Amino acid sequence: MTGGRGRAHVAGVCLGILVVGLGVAAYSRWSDGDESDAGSSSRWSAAVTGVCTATEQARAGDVAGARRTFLDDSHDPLHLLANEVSEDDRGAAAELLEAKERVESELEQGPASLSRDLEALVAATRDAIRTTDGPVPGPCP
Amino acid sequence: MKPGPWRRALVAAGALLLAATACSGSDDGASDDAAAATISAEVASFDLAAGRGERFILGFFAGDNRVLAYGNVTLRFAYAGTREAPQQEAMAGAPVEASYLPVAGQDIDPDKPSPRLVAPSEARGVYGATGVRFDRPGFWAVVAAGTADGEPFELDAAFEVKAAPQVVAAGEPAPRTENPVAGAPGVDPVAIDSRADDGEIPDPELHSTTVAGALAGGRPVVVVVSTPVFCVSRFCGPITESVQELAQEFGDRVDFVHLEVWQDFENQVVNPAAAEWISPRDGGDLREPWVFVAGADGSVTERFDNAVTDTDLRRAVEAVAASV
Repeated sequence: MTGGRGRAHVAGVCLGILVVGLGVAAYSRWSDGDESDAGSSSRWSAAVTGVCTATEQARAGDVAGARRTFLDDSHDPLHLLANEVSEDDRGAAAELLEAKERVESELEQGPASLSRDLEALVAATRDAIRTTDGPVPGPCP
Repeated sequence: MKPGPWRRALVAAGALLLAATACSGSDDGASDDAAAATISAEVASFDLAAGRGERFILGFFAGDNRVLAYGNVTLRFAYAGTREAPQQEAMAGAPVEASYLPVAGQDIDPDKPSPRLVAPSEARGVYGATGVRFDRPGFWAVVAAGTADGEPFELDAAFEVKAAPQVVAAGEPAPRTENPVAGAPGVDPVAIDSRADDGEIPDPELHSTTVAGALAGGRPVVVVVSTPVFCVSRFCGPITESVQELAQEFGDRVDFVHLEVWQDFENQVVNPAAAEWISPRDGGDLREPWVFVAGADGSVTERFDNAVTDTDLRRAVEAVAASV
């Protein structure tokens, strides 16, 4: 960066490795959301659980609660899952993203079909996870 | 689009990541700090070039899905070389303050002090600084320092700076795009807006004119290149809806155009109109969303990659509207 007055020594020999390594980290994480298999499976499973909980809340008429649960527990992991799946199975990624978008739209508008669309999102998410060869969480209780 | 050689090369270099992780962390031993141990920093900028005043944005994520929000963090940048000639040592530049930038479409108070880890339902956003100048292309490292819920953290990330912008940039002529508008014969409505799976194209104000027509008429134009359904950035927000709201307010002075990214998402066919704006010139991976603002003279005045606040969008639109 220009204008680097008061320069400080921030890294030694490691930085040469850090350069490329962190480049990989930043770029590929941003592009792909790659994680370890175990970490991914856990995250996908938590996303399904979140959608199941949101479904229960929607069925009970608690749209605000469903929205909160969806955003806090499922939204980001579903994006990361779609990104990962899109490398190998664009159709599964498309179905997941379409189902997610329907839910997001309805969470803002609160129509009566919300719980049905949440159930569809659970199915699309489980289908997407199946393409990763990871363990597929069971359906909502 | 198919993965480019650059991306493949990066993935192949993944083994170096382990060594990098072992070397990363803060100078003062804070790497074992609980907050730092659970937060990661991710550079969110899509297209950084040397020798320009760039908008640099990055986000912070905890392992439990929480995100860092509010307040400021301090950034220090260091040139780290190239793949062919990595630096063995790097010198950090002067600190730069980065402020919290909530993703558009949220109703939150961005002025709450002190960064906090919050649930995404409370706030989602990035930290950003403008006018950041990188004096040469190559890999750069950023060290971000701040507090999360009062606990200090220091995190690093790396990113690439190109020799020149790879996507349409401020100061360049806006592409005279002949994009298909709503009702265009032979065009799948979903290729005009991915939300149109029922055949009905939403937000008519964004799909009624071409960029070329707006510019030929001497009107400023705002171009949002996005895919509301198929967005895969974790910062995806209702950016298209936010632009639509501005269209309703400024439509008498400014034209607004949405360009859907995908002609066919499943078969990875990018819309030619969108490609004119966001396909990297070096053949790199296409990333979205983007918002571009062009003045009545046809030059791009501002562009926003990935995440943008309602405040920044409005300011950019007001500036070109005032010039009419």
